[in-house]
Amino acid sequence: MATNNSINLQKPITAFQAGNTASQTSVTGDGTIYTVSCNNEIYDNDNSFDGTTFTAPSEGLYVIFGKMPMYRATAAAIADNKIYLIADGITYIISENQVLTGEWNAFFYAPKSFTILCYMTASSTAKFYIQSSGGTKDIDIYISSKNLFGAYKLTGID
Amino acid sequence: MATNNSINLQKPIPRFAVVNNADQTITRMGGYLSFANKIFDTTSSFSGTTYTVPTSGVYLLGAILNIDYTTLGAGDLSVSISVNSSYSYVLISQKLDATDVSGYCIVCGSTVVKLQAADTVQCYIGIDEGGRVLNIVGATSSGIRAPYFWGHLIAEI
Repeated sequence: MATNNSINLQKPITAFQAGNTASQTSVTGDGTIYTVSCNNEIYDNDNSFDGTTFTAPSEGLYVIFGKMPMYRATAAAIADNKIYLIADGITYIISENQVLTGEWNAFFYAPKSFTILCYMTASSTAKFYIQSSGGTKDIDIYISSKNLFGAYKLTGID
Repeated sequence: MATNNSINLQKPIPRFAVVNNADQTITRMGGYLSFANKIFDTTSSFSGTTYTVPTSGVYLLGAILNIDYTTLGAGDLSVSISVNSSYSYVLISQKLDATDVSGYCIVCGSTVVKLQAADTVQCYIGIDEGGRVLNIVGATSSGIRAPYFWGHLIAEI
């Protein structure tokens, strides 16, 4: 019998958070769509994350969050940069911008954090992508700024 | 049996998610965004631009907007979640360069807010100075969530 704060008794609550132990180098810059990998799980209560893909174990509303520091070491031509999430077939654009030639003196750009409420059906998936075009394939996901990807189930469906 | 602070006793749990399929134009001084298409709204509390809080509590609120700049001029762009048309929880605030004739900006932000029943919540976009005109791009397909405005009760007070 739940007598107090009963949401805490409903374990295992679906939740995971993962990061990386190494930079991911030369992943995009030439238009390549890169699926972000997070090989270091901080927690994953019901093994719903496999390094790139979160699979919802049940239907419900999920809070999906993350952070994506992108890095380019050298100046480049005009670049279009996009960070987005696809959850249950729906695209959520997190960041999209254009960096002009000469604006690369800041090596880091788009260290974007996000939190989004997403409806997911059972067994549907969520993945985190980055894409940059206009140059060569020389953009890294930089480890020192800690990229993150995570989710937790907020509620089921009434 | 749940007897206290049980989320199971709060059904339907107040929450909403809305989009807008058509483009919206925002001119000088800004305005509240309309969201005509509901994904869900468990307490029928969202209408037009406004979510009227059905239950006092702490809410997780967020928005995603795809903003096009369509005219020349300097200006300060801000996007916020507004409570009772007075308190603003700013998601982004940035200056637009006067020489940047056209461009675009994606805003994806969220915040946690304590709200009282009957409070109103809206998504506000501000643009001042320079005569800028903003186009809030409507959802180009059912597979894209932008503009997207959402909220969810996470704890009762």
